[in-house]
Amino acid sequence: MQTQFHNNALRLVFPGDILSTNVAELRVALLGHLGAYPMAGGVIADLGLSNLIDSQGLNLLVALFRECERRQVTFRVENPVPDIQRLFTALKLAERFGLTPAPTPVLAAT
Amino acid sequence: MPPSSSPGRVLLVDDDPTTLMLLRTIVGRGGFAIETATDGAQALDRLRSAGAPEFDAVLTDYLMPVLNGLELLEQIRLLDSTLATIINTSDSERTTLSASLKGGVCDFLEKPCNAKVVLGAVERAVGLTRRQRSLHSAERRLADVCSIQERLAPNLPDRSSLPGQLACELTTRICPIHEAGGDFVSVFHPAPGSVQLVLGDVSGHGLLEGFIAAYFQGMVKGMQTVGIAPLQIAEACNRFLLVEWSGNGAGEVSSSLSAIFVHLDLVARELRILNCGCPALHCHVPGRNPEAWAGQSSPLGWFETLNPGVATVPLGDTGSCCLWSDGLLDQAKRLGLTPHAVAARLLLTLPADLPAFRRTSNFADDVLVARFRWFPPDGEQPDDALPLYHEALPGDSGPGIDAVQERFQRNLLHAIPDLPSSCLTSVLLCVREALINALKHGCAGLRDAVAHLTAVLRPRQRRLEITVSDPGPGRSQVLSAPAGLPDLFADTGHVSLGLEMIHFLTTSTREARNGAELTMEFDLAAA
Repeated sequence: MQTQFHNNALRLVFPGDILSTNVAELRVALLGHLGAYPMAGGVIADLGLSNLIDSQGLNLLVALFRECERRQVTFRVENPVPDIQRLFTALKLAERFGLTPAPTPVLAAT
Repeated sequence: MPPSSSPGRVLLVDDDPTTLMLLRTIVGRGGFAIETATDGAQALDRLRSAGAPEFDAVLTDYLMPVLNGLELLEQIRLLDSTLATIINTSDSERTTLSASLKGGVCDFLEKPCNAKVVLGAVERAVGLTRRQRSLHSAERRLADVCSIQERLAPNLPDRSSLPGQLACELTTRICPIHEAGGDFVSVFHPAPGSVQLVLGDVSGHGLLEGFIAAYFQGMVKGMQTVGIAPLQIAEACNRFLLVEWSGNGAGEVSSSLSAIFVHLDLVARELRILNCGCPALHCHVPGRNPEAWAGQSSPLGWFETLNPGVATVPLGDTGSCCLWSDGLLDQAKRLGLTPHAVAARLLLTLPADLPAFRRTSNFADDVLVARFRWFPPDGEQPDDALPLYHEALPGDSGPGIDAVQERFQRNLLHAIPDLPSSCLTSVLLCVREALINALKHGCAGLRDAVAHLTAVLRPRQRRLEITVSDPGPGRSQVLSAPAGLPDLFADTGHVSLGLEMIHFLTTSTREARNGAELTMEFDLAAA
């Protein structure tokens, strides 16, 4: 996972999909990066390379949000692909993740 | 086109009367019939009025009024691309004409003319024209064979009805790798409510195998017509291959024939299969995983004693079965796909689009696929579920879920190449969530417990239907469709976020056995 520290914010660039098979590894990496930048006033999760996030991936992002709350730093998500943005909106995560509302889902439940 | 015994007919074109007379004398010595024209336009008139195929070569000057030699050549190519043309030119003109080599000129002659050189060039041109025409003729005949093979592949509905009889539809797609191939299918109605189908596959592929396939197709059809039973037909073909054809002392024809005989009894509602060397027949009944029947047998022409695969399958009210030649299995293996996905793609390709599909698919062997559907004759719209994918997953497959997802995606995109990307994302997420749930809870991670992933397409409704099932007891309470997705920040934890995501991302869901079998539907038309 690549990181950038700029303007007092730590940008965490997720390297790909966030799935049940890699959440454990990602969690360790995230905690390591948060620990390496204790001075960061904000955390940005850059999802530009993630096309798929499953339920465990969502839980990881929520856990990251909560960890930021605990550390009293801001958290926001950037660059989600439209499908992921729609999922965030449906799960009421978009606002908490600092995202503007996504368009209406293409495949809505009937 | 048989080779002509005449020396040939040559059109000489030159605006200089002396040169024309000289050429006429030289070429005439070769025994060629000769016609002349004094410019390009006149030459074209001659070719059009007599018909370009009546000529075997054209020898033309380059510098002429009205049409020069190069312009004449272009027009000749449009009239008859097989007619060889020689351009007579000076050395200085030759450089500027080099481009015309690409335009199909057969030869150049350098002025002043040498009689021996001129005659040799004309003889070569005549020979080239005849070879090209022979080749074109063979290609046309091959295309005719291919067209006949395609027409012989039946697509017939049978909606006649006896009391209690089911209706059926048959769809076939034939894809030889060359213009003609060794796969065939023969259909016969021995009685009302009864359909016999034979799918055959001659070893090898090409025109020879096309001929052998046509031979056996006729033989099988003839025997079907007089009521000979499939086993006896198979025995007769086997004997013919082993004794009469290969052992007649006149040189061996070392072919074998794989054939599967399918008898669809729409009154007794059963399918009887006799398989000699073809891949197993796959049946799909709604609500059940696809099942393979009557595999494991040897082709005709291998052994004196037949070793057929035999099965009788109850039909139920509605369902379908698919059978294919082993070329389809080869293609599936080559592409790393399941046969269902390859068969589905072929069956979804319209007959008119098959030639183009064949050219781009790079098949390694002839491919033939046939599909029966049966349904009540006067009931609702018949079930048109086309199986795309089936995988049985041991309960300990959880760590390999990424590979399962990748395989599923590859097969899905092969069968439905125009699947919208947003729909694909939803499908993959839902399949993943459902499988994780089935492997973790339904199978409890145990290797001996097996989960099934099945995908079918309903082309008429443009609807994709995916079922994940496991052997577990399901939940104690069936989950009703949620009013909305959970708030992940609420204190009460959500143990079923994956399932609730599925409800959000699908068009609809159905559950059976307390959720141990979950069917997810995706409306492709809406995506």
